[in-house]
Amino acid sequence: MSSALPNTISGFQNALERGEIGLKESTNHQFERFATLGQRLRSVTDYFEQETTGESFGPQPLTGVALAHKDIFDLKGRLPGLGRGRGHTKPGVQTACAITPLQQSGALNLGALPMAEDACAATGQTANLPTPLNPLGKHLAVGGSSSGSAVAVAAGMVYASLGTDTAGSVRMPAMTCGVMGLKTTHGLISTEGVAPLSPSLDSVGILARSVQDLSCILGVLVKDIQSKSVSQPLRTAFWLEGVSLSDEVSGLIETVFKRYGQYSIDLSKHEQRASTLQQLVMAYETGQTHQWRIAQRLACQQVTALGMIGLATPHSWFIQAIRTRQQCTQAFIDGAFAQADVLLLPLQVAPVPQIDEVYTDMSTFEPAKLLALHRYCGWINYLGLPALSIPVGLDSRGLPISIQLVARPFHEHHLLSVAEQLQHDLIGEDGIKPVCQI
Amino acid sequence: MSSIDTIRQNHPDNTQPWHELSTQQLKQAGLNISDTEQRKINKSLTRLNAALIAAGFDWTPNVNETEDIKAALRYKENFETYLATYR
Repeated sequence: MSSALPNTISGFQNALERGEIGLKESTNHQFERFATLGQRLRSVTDYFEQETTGESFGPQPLTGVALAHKDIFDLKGRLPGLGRGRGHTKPGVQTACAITPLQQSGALNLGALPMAEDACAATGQTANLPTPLNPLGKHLAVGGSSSGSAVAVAAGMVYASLGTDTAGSVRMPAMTCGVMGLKTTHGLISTEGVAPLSPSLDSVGILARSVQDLSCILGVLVKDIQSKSVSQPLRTAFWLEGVSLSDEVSGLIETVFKRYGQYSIDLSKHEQRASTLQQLVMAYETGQTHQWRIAQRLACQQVTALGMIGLATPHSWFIQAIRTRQQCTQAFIDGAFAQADVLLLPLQVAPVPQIDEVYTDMSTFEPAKLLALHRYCGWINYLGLPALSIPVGLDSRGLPISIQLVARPFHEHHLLSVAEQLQHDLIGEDGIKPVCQI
Repeated sequence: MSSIDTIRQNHPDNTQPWHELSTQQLKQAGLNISDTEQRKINKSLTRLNAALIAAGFDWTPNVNETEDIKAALRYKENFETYLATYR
């Protein structure tokens, strides 16, 4: 079989139905491709055994579709490695709620994908496991913490991958690898069976190469999302006023915002408040989640640094921060969504960074470039809103530039609708093509 | 143990300034930290406190936590319920 399976899940399913590809043949092909590219890109932590698959298939939406997920989800009899090492068997462990419907829908789970340790870093750099390589170029950094998910999707190792997003951990890796990332509304997808970092902010997310595939996976995970349709043209607004963007990305982002956003809105005050409170909540809850490991000096550098601040943060500040959350979200919804359904917001403030700029063990490490990766991510988590990152063009080096779309809580269908238009105009009907330049 | 459970157990004396509370909390958490780490933490918290004030949250005088812990529990549990009103 050629390496060119259809680029989307629906294309794959159609090809199966028409008999253009066989289930067994395509399954073998996907496993082989996953193994070959996984080794080349250092982007698989554990390979799972091939399930027995017959030639016949039922009307399941994901029959034979290759997926693999961030190594943060419990699987039956297996605890995840969490970027600390490989996962290990443990009898009695049940599959995470988010993974179960995918498996029940016929999807293949090919393996566990690398991640930043304990999901607590803006890049995929790891200490105990190989750091995955960016398929766009080995000199380029991979965003974290769902780093392996972005690499696997970008290289075409899988159609889609689940990750988690506490302060941009789905959107940042998607951005650096030139794919799409959907951070769902806080609470839309159960985090049961997912290792926590900051439970108030953690959300399960999806990475894929097309809006159709994001929609397909979301439809399997959340049944009632399919019944939501967009009947009227959506109103859009964009935020540029006071936003810090580098010269390399500002031109394109401004053009896209003004083409697809109907009016400008200033969200600076909302962002300032929500970002500050998000940092507080994340530090505090990271400290609580990893208290024992921090005290025993077992936690990684990032968890220790953040968690220590959290453990020292006065309880009263945390209490105030979560008490204020509903008011902040309501004020944001009342203001930003008064005349808009979807917001076009900054995500990427500078070109995709190189490894030597943002990996902390490099002599040329630039902290400001690391901070720039998640500059406009975390505040959305504090507000609990859904966000979708999508590449909208290329910079002068041919590397992707991404923005994020944001909607009201549980209005992921609005995000998908606007993203579909962007994909149609700026990417192509079939989505982003897989790439591996390594 | 959840963060809220920890708050219940380690409820601090809310009459103290935040930097004293911080030191106490670290000890309660079983952390044996170096002077360098303590300086870094203090610097980070000073920066966070300044950011909170700049964002309009002047929480330097500590609130009455006895009452607010119950409120915080309620708000934390209710946030997802609140979000769900937008379903």
